[in-house]
Amino acid sequence: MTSPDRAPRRLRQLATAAVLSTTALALASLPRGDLPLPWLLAFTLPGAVLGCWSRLSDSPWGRALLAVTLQATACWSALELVGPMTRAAALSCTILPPLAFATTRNHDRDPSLALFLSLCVLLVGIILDGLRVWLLAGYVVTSFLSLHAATLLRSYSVAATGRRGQPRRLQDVGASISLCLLCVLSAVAVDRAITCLPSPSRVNESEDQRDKSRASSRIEIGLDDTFSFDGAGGVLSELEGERLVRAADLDDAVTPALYLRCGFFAVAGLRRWEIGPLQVRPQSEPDGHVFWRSEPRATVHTLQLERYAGASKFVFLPPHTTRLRGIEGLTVDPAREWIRPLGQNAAPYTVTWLEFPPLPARAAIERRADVRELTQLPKGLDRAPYEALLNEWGVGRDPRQAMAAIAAGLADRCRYERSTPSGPFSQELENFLFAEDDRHGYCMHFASAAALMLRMRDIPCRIGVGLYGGEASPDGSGARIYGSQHAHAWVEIPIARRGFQIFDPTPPSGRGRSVPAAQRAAETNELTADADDTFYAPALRTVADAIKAPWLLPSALLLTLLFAVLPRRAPKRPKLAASQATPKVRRALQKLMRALAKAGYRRTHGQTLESFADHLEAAGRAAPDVRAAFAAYQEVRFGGQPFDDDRARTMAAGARAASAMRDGD
Amino acid sequence: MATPNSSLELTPRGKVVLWLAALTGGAAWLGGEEDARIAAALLTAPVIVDFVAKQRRLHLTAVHLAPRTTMAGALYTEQILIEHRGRRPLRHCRLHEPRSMRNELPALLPTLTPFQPQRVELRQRSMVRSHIIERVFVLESEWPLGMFASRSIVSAAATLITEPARVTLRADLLEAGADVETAPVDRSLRSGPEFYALREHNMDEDARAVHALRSATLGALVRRTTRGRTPTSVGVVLDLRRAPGTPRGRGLRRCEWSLGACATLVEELLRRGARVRLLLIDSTPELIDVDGPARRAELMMLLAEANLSPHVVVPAETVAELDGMTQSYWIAAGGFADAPELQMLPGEATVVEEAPA
Repeated sequence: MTSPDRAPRRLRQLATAAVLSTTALALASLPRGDLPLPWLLAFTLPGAVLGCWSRLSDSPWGRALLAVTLQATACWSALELVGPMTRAAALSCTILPPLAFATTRNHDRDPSLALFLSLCVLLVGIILDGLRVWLLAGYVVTSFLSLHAATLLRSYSVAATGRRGQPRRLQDVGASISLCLLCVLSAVAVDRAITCLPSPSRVNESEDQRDKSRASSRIEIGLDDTFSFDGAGGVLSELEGERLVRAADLDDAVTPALYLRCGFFAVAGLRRWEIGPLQVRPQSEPDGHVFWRSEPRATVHTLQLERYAGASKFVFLPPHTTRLRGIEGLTVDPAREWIRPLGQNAAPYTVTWLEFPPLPARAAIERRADVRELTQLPKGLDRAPYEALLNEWGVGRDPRQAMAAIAAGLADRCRYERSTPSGPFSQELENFLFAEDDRHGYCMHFASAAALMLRMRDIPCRIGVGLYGGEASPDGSGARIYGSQHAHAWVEIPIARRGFQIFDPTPPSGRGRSVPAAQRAAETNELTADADDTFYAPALRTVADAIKAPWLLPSALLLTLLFAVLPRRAPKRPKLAASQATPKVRRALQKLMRALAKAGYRRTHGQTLESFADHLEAAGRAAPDVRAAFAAYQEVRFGGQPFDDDRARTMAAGARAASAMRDGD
Repeated sequence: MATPNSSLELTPRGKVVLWLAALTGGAAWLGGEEDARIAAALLTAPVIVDFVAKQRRLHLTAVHLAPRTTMAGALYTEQILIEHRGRRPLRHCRLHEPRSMRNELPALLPTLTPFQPQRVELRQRSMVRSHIIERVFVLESEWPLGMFASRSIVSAAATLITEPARVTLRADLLEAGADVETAPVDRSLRSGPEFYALREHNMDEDARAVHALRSATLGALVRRTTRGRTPTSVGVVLDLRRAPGTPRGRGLRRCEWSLGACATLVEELLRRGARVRLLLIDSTPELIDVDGPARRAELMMLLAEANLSPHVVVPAETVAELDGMTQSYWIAAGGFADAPELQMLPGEATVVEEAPA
């Protein structure tokens, strides 16, 4: 009954290529580090061979024997080559063999099973290795093509077609491409729609937190006055690639290990840290502020900072800043080293900062009054598991020893991954520290955990947020450019006569981790980066913000669905070209009829043109020109012929002949 | 929006994907997990795209075709003209007529451009004897992703007469009224008796028909058999009455065979040059003189529409209309073989029955 071979060969090739590409993209999403190539091949090659073999052999026993032999050989080879399988391999091994088999089997031309299995593999890859947008977009496109081609193949298989291999028209290809784009947009819209829905899992979130979360989805992510673990996936979860700050050292190249703080959080919380009380005052100088005097033990650096539009409401300071110059209208809390402009101020400024030698052992903690608040622990904190960890790691009360022990313990216990920690606990921090199997998190979690542990040892500390790392300026000047992808969080400990000492418990590979250059270039919004100083920049930013608004795509999706189900009137049949000329030819006929009527031959009501012509013939008055005019009229009126000049002349000749009949009488 | 003659329904693939999408969407909503959200988006997107892009204007399609007369079970190729009157072209639609395409593949229409009629050939086979005045076609499409199937019914005012299937009648039935083995006594141009075949000679038969040369060759007596001359006027009685006491719904197979036998018999008799007068006995008995193509078409239409009827008594004068016939056939389509009217038939009456299997 079914015969897919009736389908065009190119369509069959497209279907095969699409399902193979889908599977390949799903496999590419798996983490290469966790799933080495030998194990990947061990789980895919036997299934693929078996899928191809099933076309050749109908014997189930033969196939089973082949499967067992191949799989055993492949696993043994992988074991010999790279050792025992990893956790990722263990997760994938249940899906990869059937995926490979379903992809290569392709007996019934239905890729549904292969697509479903590849979706599972893709999700495993996303869970293990994070989301890669280009991979996901490619998967959506190829899976759409696979489904589309399969549907067309099915049409060919269950129906008879007269013309074999009918080529697809350009319009059909265009429709397929537009539907493919629509599929990608739909996926994004559904994702946004689910995000916009009020979820029961976020029901405890206060309205203020939600506002902050919404705000954090904008450009200030990671740099605002909130430090919330949940809500919109975390502070640093939606980093974008804009340029924020350009830092240039007046004497030397800027070190990549430079921390640029724009804020801090002093009040600890299990779900959210808060900034705490501030004692703000105006700036000490008209164009800047002096924090404290120079320290002879330290090396003095001078840094020039330029802010782009997205960072205009922040002031970024390196650690141990002594003096700031170049900005007016500042609000400062000198003791806490907190500084903000009163409004939007994107003027460049210069910073003088000190580089101290490494912290000595038994360094003295600053004991000012405002520092006491930095030892408070959040309410409701169950200290027992934390204490157990501190004891296990041997964390003492000496700041330097405590920092080293906590950093080593965290690096050993948790791994860096830019995804929210998962686990059985209700709080992300507990999942980050105490989940049984996979404990992962990013800088927020490392910093929070370290700060809590330090406070448990009565070491005052706070969390500083800002930028770290950056990228060398392409002009070779030694300057570094920071974007929001370089946002970072760390711990700051007040040390006597040194100010706030930075302690970064995040593994070095994860500090201010930047995205690859190609992705960043794609993500970088050229409008906001290059048009900072143009007069239309605010309007463009408004448009960009509107496009990025989470409600936009869901609303468009809803409107599209409504438009699809709304009834529409059927179109009118297009008029024939000849009907445009009907009034003209009718007028010519009326002229002819009037001439005939004047000659005494009037067409009676209901008499057809043919019978009238017969009547004239019977009367012996059917002039050839009159008959020709009648024929011309019929050709235009009923034959679909155009009323061209020849027929107009014929009609005119008929009218003249009719007039001549009267004159002749 | 569904219209009375069009529908949109989920295919099995669509049901599975929609269930999975609903489950993952619910999980993403409840748990707020990003991975579940991605899964829900990936599963929901094709359903949405298929729903939005689905061709819902299938019913804006007109089908034109000529009247057709066929026999039940006979294969034929129908030529139809199909025209779409919507705004956008229809893609990958399948067209079929459920009545006449039970085992035949539907026709695939890769692209149906608006207002451009397209000629389509459909292989059809009408299996049920009938006379319909409206052809009903089904146009369906799963384009583009096969999650939903849109289906629309397109009807066309065209008659389809499905005559009874022809049956193979026994030779003795056809030759019942013929002048078997009688030499022609005149030189008329009418058919028979003519040489038909050779067969073994039985000793008690007339020896004048023995074929001497063939008997000598074979060494055994062989005789000629001839096809007898068909009577010039033949009466056929098609009795559609159910036998008294027979419940409705029984004897349908016999009825179909009898109607086919009637059609076969009349055609054969007409081919042999006979004049056929047919008495159709149902609730209102009807007498038809089949003396030309028009009356033959009328008879076939009657046979296409015929059904068994309750038992009624046929007036004697109605049966007497067949008095002038030299030969009569009685076809008891309703199984009423003992009808008293059978005795009233003039001449030699032959009962047409299906040979036992």
